[in-house]
Amino acid sequence: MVTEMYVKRIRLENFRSHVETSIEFSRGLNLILGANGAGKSSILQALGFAFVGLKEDGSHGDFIINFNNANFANIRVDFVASDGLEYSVIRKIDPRKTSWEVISQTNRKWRGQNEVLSLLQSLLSIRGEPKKVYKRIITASQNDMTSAFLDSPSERKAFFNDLFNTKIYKEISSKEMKKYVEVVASKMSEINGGLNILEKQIEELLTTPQEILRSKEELKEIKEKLSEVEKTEIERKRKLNLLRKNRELHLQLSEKKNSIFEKIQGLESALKENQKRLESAQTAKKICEKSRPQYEKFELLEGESKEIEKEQTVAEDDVKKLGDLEKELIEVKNAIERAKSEILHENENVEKYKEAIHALDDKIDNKKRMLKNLEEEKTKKLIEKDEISEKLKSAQALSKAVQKISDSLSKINGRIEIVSKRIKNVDFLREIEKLNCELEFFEKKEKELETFKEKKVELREKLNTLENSKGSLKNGMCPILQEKCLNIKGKDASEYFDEKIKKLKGEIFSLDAQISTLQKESGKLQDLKSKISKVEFEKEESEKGKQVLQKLLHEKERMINELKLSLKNLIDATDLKPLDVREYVNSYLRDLSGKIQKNAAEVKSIEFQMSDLRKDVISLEKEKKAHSDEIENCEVKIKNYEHQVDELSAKMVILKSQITSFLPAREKLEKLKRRYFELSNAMSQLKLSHDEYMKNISIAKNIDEIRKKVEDTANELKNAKVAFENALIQIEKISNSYSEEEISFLEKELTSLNSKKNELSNRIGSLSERIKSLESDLEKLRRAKGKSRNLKENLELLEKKKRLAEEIRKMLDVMGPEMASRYRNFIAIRATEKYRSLTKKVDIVKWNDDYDVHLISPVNNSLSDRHFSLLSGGEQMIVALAIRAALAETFSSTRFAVFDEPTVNLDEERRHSLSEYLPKLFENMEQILVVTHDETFREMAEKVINVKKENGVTTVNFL
Amino acid sequence: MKFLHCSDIHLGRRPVGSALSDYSNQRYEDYFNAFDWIIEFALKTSVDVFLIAGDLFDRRELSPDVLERAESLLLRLKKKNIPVIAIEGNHDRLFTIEGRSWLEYLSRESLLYLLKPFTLEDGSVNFPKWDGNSGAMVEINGVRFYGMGYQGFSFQQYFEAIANQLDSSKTNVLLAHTAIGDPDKVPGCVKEETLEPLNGKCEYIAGGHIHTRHIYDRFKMFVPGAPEYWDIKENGEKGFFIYDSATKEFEFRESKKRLKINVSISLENGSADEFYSRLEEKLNLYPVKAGSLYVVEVKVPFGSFLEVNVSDVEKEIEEMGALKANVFISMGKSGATDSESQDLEVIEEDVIAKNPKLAAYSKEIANALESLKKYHDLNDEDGAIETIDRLLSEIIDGDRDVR
Repeated sequence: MVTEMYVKRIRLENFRSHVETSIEFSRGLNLILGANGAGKSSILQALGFAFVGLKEDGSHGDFIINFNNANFANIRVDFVASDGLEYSVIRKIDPRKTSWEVISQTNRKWRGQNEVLSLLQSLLSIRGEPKKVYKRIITASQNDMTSAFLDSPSERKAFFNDLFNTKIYKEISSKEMKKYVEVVASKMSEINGGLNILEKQIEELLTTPQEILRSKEELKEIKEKLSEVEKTEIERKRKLNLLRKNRELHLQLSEKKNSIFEKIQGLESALKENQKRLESAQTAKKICEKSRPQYEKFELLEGESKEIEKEQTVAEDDVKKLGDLEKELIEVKNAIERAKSEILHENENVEKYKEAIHALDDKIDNKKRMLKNLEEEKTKKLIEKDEISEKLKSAQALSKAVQKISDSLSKINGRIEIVSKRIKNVDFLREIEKLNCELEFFEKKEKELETFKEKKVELREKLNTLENSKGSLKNGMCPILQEKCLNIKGKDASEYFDEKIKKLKGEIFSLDAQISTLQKESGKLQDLKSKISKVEFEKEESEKGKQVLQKLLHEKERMINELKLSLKNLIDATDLKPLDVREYVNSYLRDLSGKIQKNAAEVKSIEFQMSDLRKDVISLEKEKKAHSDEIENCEVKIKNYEHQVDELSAKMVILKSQITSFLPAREKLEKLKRRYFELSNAMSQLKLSHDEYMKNISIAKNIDEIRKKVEDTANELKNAKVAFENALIQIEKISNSYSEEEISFLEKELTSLNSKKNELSNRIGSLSERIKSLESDLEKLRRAKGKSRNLKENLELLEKKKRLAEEIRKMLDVMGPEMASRYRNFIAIRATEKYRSLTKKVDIVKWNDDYDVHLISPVNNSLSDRHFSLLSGGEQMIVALAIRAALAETFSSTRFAVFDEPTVNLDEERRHSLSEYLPKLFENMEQILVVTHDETFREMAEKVINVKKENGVTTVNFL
Repeated sequence: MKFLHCSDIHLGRRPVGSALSDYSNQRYEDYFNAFDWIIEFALKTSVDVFLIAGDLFDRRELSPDVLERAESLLLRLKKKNIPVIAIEGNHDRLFTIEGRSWLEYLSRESLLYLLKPFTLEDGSVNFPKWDGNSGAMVEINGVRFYGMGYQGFSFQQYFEAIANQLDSSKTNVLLAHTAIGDPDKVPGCVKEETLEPLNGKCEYIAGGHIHTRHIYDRFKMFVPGAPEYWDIKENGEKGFFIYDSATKEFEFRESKKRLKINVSISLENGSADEFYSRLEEKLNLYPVKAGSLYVVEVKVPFGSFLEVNVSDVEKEIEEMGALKANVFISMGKSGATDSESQDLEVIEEDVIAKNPKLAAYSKEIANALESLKKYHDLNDEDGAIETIDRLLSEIIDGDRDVR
């Protein structure tokens, strides 16, 4: 399930002889090979120091190599731990302190000695004390392979007991356990001290419960007394209240009696008053009966007179209305007159405006006529302008044409001049003839020269031949055959040739003279020839010029004709020279543009006049419009007035009819006034009697009411007198039901009861306090008892612990040897298994007390039991390896092992046995590191690390 | 939602020994067949999510054949839209910081979500949400799946970190390649107290690492075991879990694996004759089946001399039709008392147990001794006294309980 632990890489810096070393390990067998002192063992030391802090005697500073003056050393081991994850352990060493750190794959860091060591123990799967297991079991060093079993019993015991850590039980017993027992004992004595104090406390408080009981009884008695006093008090208070109530009632009744008496007095005076009023009412009644007829007549007359007053008011209103109507009628009539005169006035106005409009119309017509004339004149001028423009346009075109033609003419004239100069008036033919004659002569001479020249060449050749012949002859050569000829030999050549040569030379000389004469002549011939060609050229040129001139003159004439033709329509140009024509045309042009300007000015002035006239017409028409608006205005007014007149006339008719209907009112009013006067007279005679009646009738009217009041008051008075009598009787009765002495006695008794009650209450309070304090004492007692119980229990527990601890100590004291025996037994079984699987034999490895090893083998039918020392070297090695493997499995589940020089001091047989069985034994190991100086394991190694020392520094290579 | 949880598939494993043997080749196929069978089951029952709690592969380095076959198997789940959530185990975890594991490759190929916590420089651990490329948490249908991977001896730190980061109001499922055990005996396991901070915060902890089925009710931790024997000597139940988060019910299914027959022989005198006669009895009782693995454990008393060539015996059994036979001899009993165990761990206990007054508490005393030794070495008297007192209190309390 889990990958086994193995070292991947170690890096050393300034560590012993390693200045900077990095070694990669592989799984399986790794051989660290090198001579003694090369630095191999330093690698193992570093590993041990990094993994479990293993270190030989001496200070940490011994690890540091002072190379490059560095005062530190570093170790870093990268390894895969037993949990299958990769970790690095890093140690930094300087002389004063060292650090130890483990880093996980996920960069988690562990520092601190204990933390790191405990982690590494897990990571390396070490059981037991890490340093020892690492040093004794994971590492097998030098000669302890077999020697551990060959040492003396006491040495063996020390070695393995240390490994099995058998001492520790006794150590724990005599240190930690002993200390524990001491601690427990001191705690117990402490608790005992506490207990004593508690017991004293308890004793002091023991009487508390009885005291509480007593106090409670007393309290009960006092409470009963108190309740009796309270009962008496209630009874007395009830009685006192009753007496006080009667006293109160007596007071109330007296007040009532007095108020009834006052009421009786009031009623008696009211009765007297009412009787007086009754008498005067009876007198009034008699007077009324006597004056009644006069009163009634007066009333009648007064009714009629009021009627007449009303009618009179109506009639007066009618008369007033009539006056108003008449006034209005007059106003209407006046208004009608006013409207009629307005109409007349407006009609006059209309006539006036019509006349004005007429005059304006004449004026407008006049202006319009003038405008028309101007229009016509303008049109005429515009036509004129067009005509002149037309003429101007053609004149401009003409001017252009004339310009063009006259330009061409002057050009032609120029050319004519040039050409005319070229033409010479010489007789070319005669000249040429003369020259040709001369030429003929010179040509003859030329031919002669040629002949001489040819002759000269001929003569020269002859001369050469002669000279050659002369030369060859001198040498004895035949000049003809070109070979030596004996015939010739000895003959004088000069004699034979010189004559001839001389003659020829003379001839040539005379020829040369002739040739030079002729050559001079020959120069003249050339001159002559060029002269002739020049004259011929001149002749040709002159002829050509004449032809051109002819053409140009013709052209000139044609143009003049053209010019004349184009001017024909305009002017008579027949007699005009071309330049004059131009001047003429230009002045004509100027004339025409002057005319156009004049025409434009005239048109403008006409337009000004027209615009003035138009303005006039517009203002006149505006005026005319204003007049006709006025007329319209007047006509509207007239219509309005006429309408007014109509309306007013209608109103007048209505008014007249209304006046007619109101006319009788005036007569009626007169009649009414007369009748009212008569009535007033009659009424003044009756007035006195009427007033008398009126005065007494109001008094006589109340007579029944007054009589009733008199009766009521009399009854009331009677009732009040009865009530007064009753009150007097009641007062008499109540004044006997209480006495002031009795009341004051009771009050005194109550005061004394109250003070008695207070005294009792105070006694109850103080008793309660006492009980409370006693109860708290009781609680104290209970607590003290509980605490004491707890302490006793604690003490008991401690006692138990102490006994148990002592028991465990006893056991621990004897546990070491027992454990060693078990370990030996356990390991012997494992070692036997290993031995059997290695050798395929069925022998038994036994490990007795004193750690002496025996091998038991079946021989024939019995057993052979041999002590380790009696085994052969090979057997010893196998047994030792088997035990070692069993130990390794027991104390560490890691499959990682280190062998430090396992072959040192081994004889051949042992070494052979080791090399045969070691790999077999560890074939399922994850990694084995073997440090060695010989080649025993070389073939089976997965990796060989060669270590060398050069100049005191270790170097490493992998071959 | 329903998910399937398997672990320790170990694709690509070959048993130790000659790589070209028929045995090696057949076993190589066995691991693929076991995984194939689980995938078939997942498809048939249409689970919602498929969890692999580490060690999908047997090695960090893969042959092309292993990778290709793993990809095609995972592709079948992908085609049915069953998301696969995986973590690295100690076997297939990336080895160095700079490296990349084949699981990461499969994750980038979208064949699975490889969940990994993120460790900062200062050693603090984070479980970030899946960001499309990486992360330590994926939420599917409201269930949060966290991946812790394999953390060797550092699991404690990771459990503490995740306990702080979990939202207890959510449904949390944690994948961790570990099981409960003594990390000093089985590296990569964790002690019970390591899981304590997680108590009540996880609906399901999908464990692994150990190759047989385990359920730790208290922590809702489930270890399905390796579906195929990783080692011929392995025993116990092996399979996978189906968990339904709606009903909170789980179901364990045995995986399909090669037939393995275990027999055990205890010899009394340890002679060859005794061995052969007892072996024959066993062979008659448990006949060899074709293609099976046949394991014989022989317990021999110490001091006896059994002269048997084990490999000859193995060969004979293989000739009877076994794919592989394994005969191993263990030596027991030195002739001393029966109560004497052969386990080193309990030697101390045995010795303590000899004292009748302390026998009932030998285990506790042995455990305390373990600590006491450490305190003794560290010269920590207070620590030692505290340990002793705790031990004694434990013993006294125990006595009271008995009474």
